[in-house]
Amino acid sequence: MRYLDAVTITQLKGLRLFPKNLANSSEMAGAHKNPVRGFSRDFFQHRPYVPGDDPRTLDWKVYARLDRFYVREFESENLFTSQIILDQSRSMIFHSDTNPPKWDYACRLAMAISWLALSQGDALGLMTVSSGIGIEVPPRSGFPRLEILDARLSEISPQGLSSPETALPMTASHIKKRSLIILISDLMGNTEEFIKGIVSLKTGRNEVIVFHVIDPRERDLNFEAPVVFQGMEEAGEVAVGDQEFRLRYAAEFEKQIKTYQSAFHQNQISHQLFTTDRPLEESLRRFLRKSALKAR
Amino acid sequence: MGFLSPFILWALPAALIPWLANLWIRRQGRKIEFSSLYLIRKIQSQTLSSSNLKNSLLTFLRCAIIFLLVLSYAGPIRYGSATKETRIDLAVLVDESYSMGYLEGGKTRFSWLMNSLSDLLKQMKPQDRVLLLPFSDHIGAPMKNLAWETPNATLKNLPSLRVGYGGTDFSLPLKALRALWPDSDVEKHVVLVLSDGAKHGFRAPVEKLNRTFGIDWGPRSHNDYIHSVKISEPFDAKRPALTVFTHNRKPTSLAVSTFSGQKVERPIQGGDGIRENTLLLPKINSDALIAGKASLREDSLPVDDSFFFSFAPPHPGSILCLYSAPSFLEPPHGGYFLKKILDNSARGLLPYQITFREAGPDAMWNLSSYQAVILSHPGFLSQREAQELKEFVGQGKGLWVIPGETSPSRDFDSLKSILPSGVGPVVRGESSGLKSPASKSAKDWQDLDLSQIQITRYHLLENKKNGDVFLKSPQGYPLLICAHNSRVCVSAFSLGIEDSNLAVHPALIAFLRLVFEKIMGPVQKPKSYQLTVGDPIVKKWDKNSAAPENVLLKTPNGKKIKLHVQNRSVFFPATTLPGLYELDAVNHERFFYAVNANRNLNESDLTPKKDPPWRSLDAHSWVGEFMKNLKGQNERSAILFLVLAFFCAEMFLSSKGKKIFPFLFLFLLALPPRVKALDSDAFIWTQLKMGPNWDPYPNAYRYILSFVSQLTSVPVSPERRAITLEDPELFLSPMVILAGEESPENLTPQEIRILSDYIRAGGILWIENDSGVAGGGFENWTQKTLKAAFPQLSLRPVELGNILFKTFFLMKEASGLRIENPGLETLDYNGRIAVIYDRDDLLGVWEEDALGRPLYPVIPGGGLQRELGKRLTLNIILYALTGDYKADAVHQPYLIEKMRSGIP
Repeated sequence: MRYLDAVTITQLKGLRLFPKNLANSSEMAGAHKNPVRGFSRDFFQHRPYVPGDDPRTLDWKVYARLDRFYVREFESENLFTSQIILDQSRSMIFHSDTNPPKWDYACRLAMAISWLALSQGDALGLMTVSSGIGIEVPPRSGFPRLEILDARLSEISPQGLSSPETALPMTASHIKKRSLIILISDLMGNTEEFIKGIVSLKTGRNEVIVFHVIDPRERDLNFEAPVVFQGMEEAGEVAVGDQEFRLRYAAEFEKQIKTYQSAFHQNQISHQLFTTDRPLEESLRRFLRKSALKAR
Repeated sequence: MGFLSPFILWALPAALIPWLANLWIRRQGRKIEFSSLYLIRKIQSQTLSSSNLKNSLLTFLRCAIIFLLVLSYAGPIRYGSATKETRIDLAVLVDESYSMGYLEGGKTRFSWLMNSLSDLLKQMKPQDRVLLLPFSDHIGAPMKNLAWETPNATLKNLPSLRVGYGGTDFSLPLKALRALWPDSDVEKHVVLVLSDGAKHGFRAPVEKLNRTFGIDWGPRSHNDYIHSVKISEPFDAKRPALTVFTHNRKPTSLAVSTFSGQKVERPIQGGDGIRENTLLLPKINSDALIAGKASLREDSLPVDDSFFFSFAPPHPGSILCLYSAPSFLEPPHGGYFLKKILDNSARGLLPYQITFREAGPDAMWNLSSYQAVILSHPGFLSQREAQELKEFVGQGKGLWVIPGETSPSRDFDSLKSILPSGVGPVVRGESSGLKSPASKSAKDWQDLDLSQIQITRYHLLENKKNGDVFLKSPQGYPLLICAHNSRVCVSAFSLGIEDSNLAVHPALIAFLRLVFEKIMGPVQKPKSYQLTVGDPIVKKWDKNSAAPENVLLKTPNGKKIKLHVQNRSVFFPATTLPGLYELDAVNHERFFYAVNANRNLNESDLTPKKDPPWRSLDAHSWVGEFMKNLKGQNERSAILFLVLAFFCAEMFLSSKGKKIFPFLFLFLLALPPRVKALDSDAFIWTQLKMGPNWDPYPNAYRYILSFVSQLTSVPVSPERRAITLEDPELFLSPMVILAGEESPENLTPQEIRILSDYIRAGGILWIENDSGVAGGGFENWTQKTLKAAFPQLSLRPVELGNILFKTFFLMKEASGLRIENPGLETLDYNGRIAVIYDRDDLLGVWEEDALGRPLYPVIPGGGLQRELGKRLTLNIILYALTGDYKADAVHQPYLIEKMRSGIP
């Protein structure tokens, strides 16, 4: 597979995706523990029978020993649906020096998450967005999905403008089930529009995680002046001849990250920053451990 | 506004270079695709105004710097208000009065002005016109063909101008100009008065012309001078004294030297106003001429520090004393006392020559060569004798009759007609005392105690109508009667002790002076032969003396002029120099005429006039100031200052304002007062450009000046001054260094004179023999040159304790790159070191390579030798700047203690 290799899989083994609020809402049995007791292989406890309990849950062996009715309770485990939304706008093609393009990085990240989700038996779907919805792979479970996803991703390349304010709500309308929505994007563009678009994904039934992929040069604008910048998505040029500008840009970028984080926090949206100069497994593992702790 | 070199303005488009470069750089900027311009645009919109402003400002500053630099090289001139015409008509009035000989920095004010004037004329354009008008107390020579000339032609006329000996009168040339120009022209012309502007030139009202410029020499230093010289009175022919009238505020010394080579000198007190100083001349022959020069110690105006004088003593009156008894000449008789007082060989108390002769019956008196006759107890006079005396008196000559102790009155009957009184019988004198004579010479008697004079016996005198009584006995009997219409006196007593004690009383002199004045006329005063420069010399011979055919006139500058005598007189039209003019007649008769500059013109008082009728220009920078007023100001320095300010601003902006203080400091350094301070009193290393290898150690001076400024508080100028002997800057340097390995060319007499003047004026010459060969060509050249400049003086080795070993570091011996014996020699002039001659290659110890290591090894070696060489260099510089103040007693104990301790 182009975007998933054995090394990544090895590094991700033992990790799990833990949606905070989605497990109890699935109609299908799956890998995710549910606070509601249900049917599974994992015994939870015995409890005295009360009228109304399903007589099939009675533990007859206990009745034989104790002459009292006890009901056996099992932990309930549900499947849930994960939906990856991958930013396919032209800006994702950007890369600096030896770092991989954000697009490749984002694809590898998507594949890694897909492997995690599918390995848990969850259903996983994928959509790419730029100005509109690009490809759409409906959520299904089972490892064969990986091949399909990889093949679909390999077919496409970043193109078009990002318009989060319109495109993201559009994707939300395509997601029928309660889902864990994982948005992988560089969030490069109008901050307000991105926030508005992302918040629209976060409805009562969906949980949203934003994987914010950036190139290190987008963070510190490390170019030797003078430079004329041409936008990958916008028309026009901006000449920058001043080293002082870099400092201002870095500060402004930091401020933008803070703005995202603060807005996502308010809307209970998780956020993780990935820079393409760091291995994605490392950042992903950190995120997953953090979310696992929170889930407990 | 105009430009001296307008073609440089073609470079002005270069000012666009920074702007074009800015554009080009922007275009050359790498184009980079970036994910999103959202943040970049956002930041740019925030900073656009300030960033753009800063960029534009920087570009503007850079453009402005180049623009201004081009402007400054084009020589921008801001035209002054004085003139806007294309042609300048300049009248230059040159003061040739002798006060212009005032010395400033080794040169006279006149030569300073002439040098500056030639600079000014060189700066003028060919179409300008100049009218040169020299003046003093009269209009100078070129006035005769007064005409406008081109600046170049005027430049050629300048050498003919020189300081004269006249006074100053500003009204004359200004009046002449006013008369020359019609009213309409007065406004057009510019007048430049090159003068000292002293108030003595404003005796007459001065016409004020509109555009007149003068020179301001600043506050004047005091000038001492001799106002006049007179023979002291009463005149003593054998020991004459001079009264010298001086004007000296501080004590100084006064010297008088006579033409015969005698010299007297004594210190005199100082004070305000004209002071009277009496100087006794050496003993001379009574008929010798008294001529010579009185001089004060020279100050800045040397002309008036000496005064020439010439006096011819009067011929002493010759008197014949006729006596009858041989014992008359022996004590206690009167002849003895007369002889003592009028003795020709001894120091005569009265200026008369007397001849004693016994009045024998057959003796021929031959009275024609005498002015007076004393007839003392002559006995009976024959008819011939009486007749001769009568004729003698009739010629207006004098006769004093002293009746003898026993002379009968009839002895004088033959002279009755000429005597003012009759001579009566002898009577006994009264009590002591004399009645004060009622004469003009009464003051001679005032201090004498006449009560002690005892007249023991006297003849009763019968006063006639034509007689005046000059002396009376206590009871009022006349003792001395003189005729008021002839020179005949009769005294009532003889001078012998038997008649009176007058002969042993101080009153005798007063008595004799009174009588001689009556019979010989008033004492003649010495004749003065004083002239002022410009006066003619006229000598006439009277009929009694023989006139020569030709005379030889020797002028003070050694010229001999033969003059022909016409009509018993000789005439020399005009004296041109102060000094003694000697007129030698063929019969060995000599006359001296003392010619001086006119002292009554107040020329020696250099006090400047407070509000002169012209615009004053500073004497040391007047050319620039004048041109600024006349033609406009060269604004180059102002523009360069602006360039510096812009440059500082550019540096400040481009360094993002982080390093403001260094630029602020740089800017403050560049402020004009600092520039002024730099060239004021900093020590400038001055080196003479002489010989093929005049600069064997081109960098040594940098290390030396750095050493001086590190160790002392002497401000040093970072640049050195390399000059020749003709350079006027020589006289601005306290010390000049002449270094070399090969001998320079022989100096011309002019150069030797300049070198000698420089050293005499206080300069120090430091000669560095860097050839490494003692006694080589350079040394021979040095010896020869110094011999030519100072024939009397020679170089002497420096010994332990010399001031050069003390001025800063205490040292015991000379040092340098080598050690020669002797290594250091000096030539002392007037009690100070004037020439320092070094064989040790002192400058060689200073030269270093780029890493600060000494370039040349010391021989025989050792760091101490090099260090001592450096110390000696510093000592020499400090000596040149401070003199021998370290040699005074204040430092002695410390110096001795330090010397004893053996610390080097």
